[in-house]
Amino acid sequence: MTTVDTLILERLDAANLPPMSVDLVVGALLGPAEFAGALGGAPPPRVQPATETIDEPQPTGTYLSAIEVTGFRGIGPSATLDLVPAPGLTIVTGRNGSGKSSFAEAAELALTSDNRRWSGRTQAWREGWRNLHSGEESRIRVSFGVAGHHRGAVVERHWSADAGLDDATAFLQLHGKPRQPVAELGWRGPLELYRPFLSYAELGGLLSGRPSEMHDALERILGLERLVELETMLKQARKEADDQRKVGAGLLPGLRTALAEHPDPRARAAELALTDLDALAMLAESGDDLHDVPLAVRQLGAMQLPVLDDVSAEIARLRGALDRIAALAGTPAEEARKIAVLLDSALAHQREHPGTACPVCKGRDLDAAWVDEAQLEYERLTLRAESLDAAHRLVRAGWQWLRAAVPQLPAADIDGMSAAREAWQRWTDVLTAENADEVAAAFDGLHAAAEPIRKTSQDLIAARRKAWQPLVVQISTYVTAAWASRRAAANHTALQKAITWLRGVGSEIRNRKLEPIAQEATEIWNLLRQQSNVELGSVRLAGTGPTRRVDLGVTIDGTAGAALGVMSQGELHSLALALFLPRATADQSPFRFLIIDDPVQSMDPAKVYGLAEVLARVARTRQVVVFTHDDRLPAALRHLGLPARIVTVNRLPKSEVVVDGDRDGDPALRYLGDARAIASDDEVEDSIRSTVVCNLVRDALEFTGQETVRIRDFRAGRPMADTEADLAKAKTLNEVMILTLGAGNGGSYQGALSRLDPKAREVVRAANNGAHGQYHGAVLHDLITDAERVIGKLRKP
Amino acid sequence: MTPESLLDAAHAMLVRPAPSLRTCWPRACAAVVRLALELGLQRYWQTRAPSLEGRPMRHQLLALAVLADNRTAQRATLAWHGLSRAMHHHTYELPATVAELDNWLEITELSLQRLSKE
Repeated sequence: MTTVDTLILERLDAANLPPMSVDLVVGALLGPAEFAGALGGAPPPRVQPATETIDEPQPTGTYLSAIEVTGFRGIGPSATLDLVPAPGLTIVTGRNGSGKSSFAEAAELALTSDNRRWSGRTQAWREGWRNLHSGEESRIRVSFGVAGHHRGAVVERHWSADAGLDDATAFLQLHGKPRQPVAELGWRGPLELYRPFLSYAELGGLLSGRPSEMHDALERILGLERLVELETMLKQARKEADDQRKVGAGLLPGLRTALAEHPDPRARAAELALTDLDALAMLAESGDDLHDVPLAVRQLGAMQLPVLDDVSAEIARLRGALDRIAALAGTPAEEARKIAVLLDSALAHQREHPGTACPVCKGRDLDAAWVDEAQLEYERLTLRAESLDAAHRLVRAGWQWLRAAVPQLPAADIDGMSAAREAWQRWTDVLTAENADEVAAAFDGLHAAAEPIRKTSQDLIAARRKAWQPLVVQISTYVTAAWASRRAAANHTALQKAITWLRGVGSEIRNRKLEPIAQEATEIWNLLRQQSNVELGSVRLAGTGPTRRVDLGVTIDGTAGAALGVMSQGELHSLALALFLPRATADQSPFRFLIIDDPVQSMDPAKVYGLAEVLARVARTRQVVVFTHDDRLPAALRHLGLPARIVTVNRLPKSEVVVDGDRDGDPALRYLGDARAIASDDEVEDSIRSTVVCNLVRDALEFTGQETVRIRDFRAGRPMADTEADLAKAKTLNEVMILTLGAGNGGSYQGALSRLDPKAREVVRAANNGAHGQYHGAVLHDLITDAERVIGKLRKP
Repeated sequence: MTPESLLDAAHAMLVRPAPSLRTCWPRACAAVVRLALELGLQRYWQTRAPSLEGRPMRHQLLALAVLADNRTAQRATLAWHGLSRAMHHHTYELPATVAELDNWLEITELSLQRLSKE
């Protein structure tokens, strides 16, 4: 959890946000999975803002201890710029073309593998990197003092004779360790963030570049990318929700048209249920239901006609029976049965009255011969009647079967029905007429007429089924999408509120975090501006997205306005420097050094004094190396009495570059130089002369002592804050010297002084007493000479 | 001629330069202010350390850092070097601006005020 997260959570409790928006913000803070969950409606776990403040670890401080350059740009044979790897100001002066900027560029190139002077330039710029007078190989070797590492580290970049600028071999080596790739330093990020290199051209670009670039640069140092990340996350989700919430509505017209065009009655129901997604889903899922197809058509589709063979067999049976009936024609069964009954009665009568004449006709005698005759006739007649009855039964059954075998024609409204109706009518007619001769033909007609309409019906059913299926899919798709869209619409509203809130909170957090930097920039500007009528008030990060920018509350003679436009180039440079310095000196930066190439150009003489004060101020905690082409800055530093080492770079023929200490370059020697000037002025009263000289000697000793302590502690890997605390406590010269010599109080301190130099005790005592007007020592010039020797010995490691 | 009257004259020159001075008034103004500073220092030495009167300014200023308070000495040093630069002709440098002169004037006034109080 970053500090930004904590700040957001703290504000979230007091935020007047709907719960859904709160869930989304918390989800986004927790991570992508939780955020997706929150979007899906699952509230993320409630998180409490971390109460304890998180101490960000102080990075390992790094100082420059030397830049050695061979065959690169203005430098031919190997030249080395030695630096003190500790806080302090070093001014490297040299005329144009002396090769001083080559040192700055070399350091930048060795660390970043790029150089702002060339990046984005044409090939012609990049090709001129190699020195014309160099021998075979080119090499840059930057030595670092690294806090906690006794002997520091080296970054080297090496080009063989015919290599291009980008073909260098580069390595990093911590003292006593094997060589590593430069990337091992882990400086890629910090170099971007805290860029310890600044050239004149870059200062110009800082304010004239795109406003968003400056905004982003500041935001990154403040550790505010997290805000951007969160906002991007929410915005991305909002965009997706925005797209998604329209999807349902987008599908609706198509579905409506499809439903309107669809004959299925379910389509009607669906049209009514379009807003009721549950009902719609039910409709779509209700499965294969054919109640939309007319019953008659469904019956027709399912209609079964008897098999032709069965029908033919039945007809054959019918015809057989009919033939039997025809053969028995003339003896209708009833008559035969009646005669049989009559004969039966006559036979009974004869058995009671044998041989009597027929009582009916009074003719023939009913004798034995008659009995035989009548008996035979009776049996014949009875048999015939029974056969005929059987045949009739068969015929009735046959017709019945045929009637039952063919179903009624369903009254479907489809093509081919008239033919079918005719066929059915004929069949009915034939059956009604019991016309056995026509039955087979009628059935054929029936069969022929039924087949097409049955097929039509079945096709119709299949088509219905097929026509509905896509709608099932379409409705389901719509229902799913519509649910998602409703969710998305709710999310969209919640996200919108969350984003608006986050922006408000974000700008508050931004400016809160920016405040110290802004304040520092304002202070620096106030030092720099001197007589400029341009006043820098607030510095604010404003706007979002493409309009993001840094708002500089610049007023001119008290009037606010588009101040950047009316500021001069020199003022713009100064302002850029005011904004750059806090960035480059951020606590989180591992770079305790700062290389500024020619900041004095286009500055008014007065601003140079401001610059000198600013640089001296930064140099209290940072190693500041300034390259400049004229004497204005060194002069200003001398006039202001600010401690600064000054070295000059000179270029001899054939690009031989030499680095010399400036005559007044060493503050301690400068103090002693001033002391000599006063000591030589015989007109001035002795007591005054000795007081001033002793003061200057004391300044020289104190400066040397502090510098020695810083360098020694740094090399020993002692945290800088501890060293500075010690130095701040050491208020008197004796205290500083005790610290410098690493001695205890009293005797051991005096002994340490004596061991350092036989005259050291005397020099320190003289400086102490004489500074308060009580000098009773040797000739002032001798004191100064002794002091110079003591200082030289103090500096020896 | 007192340092105060010289400073008043410099002020007047800044507000409305005499036409006769034409374009050299900034240098003239710087010279007047520097003279005021030097006179002020002279007056200061007369009571504090007469032997410094008339000594090279480098020596005077170095002694001032010890004898007067540090901030005042720093101001005086700054003003004197700045004014020296502004009152001389430099081939490639333009004369000081009103704002710059105003600044030197203010610094000089401040340091002389402090010195006269001691």
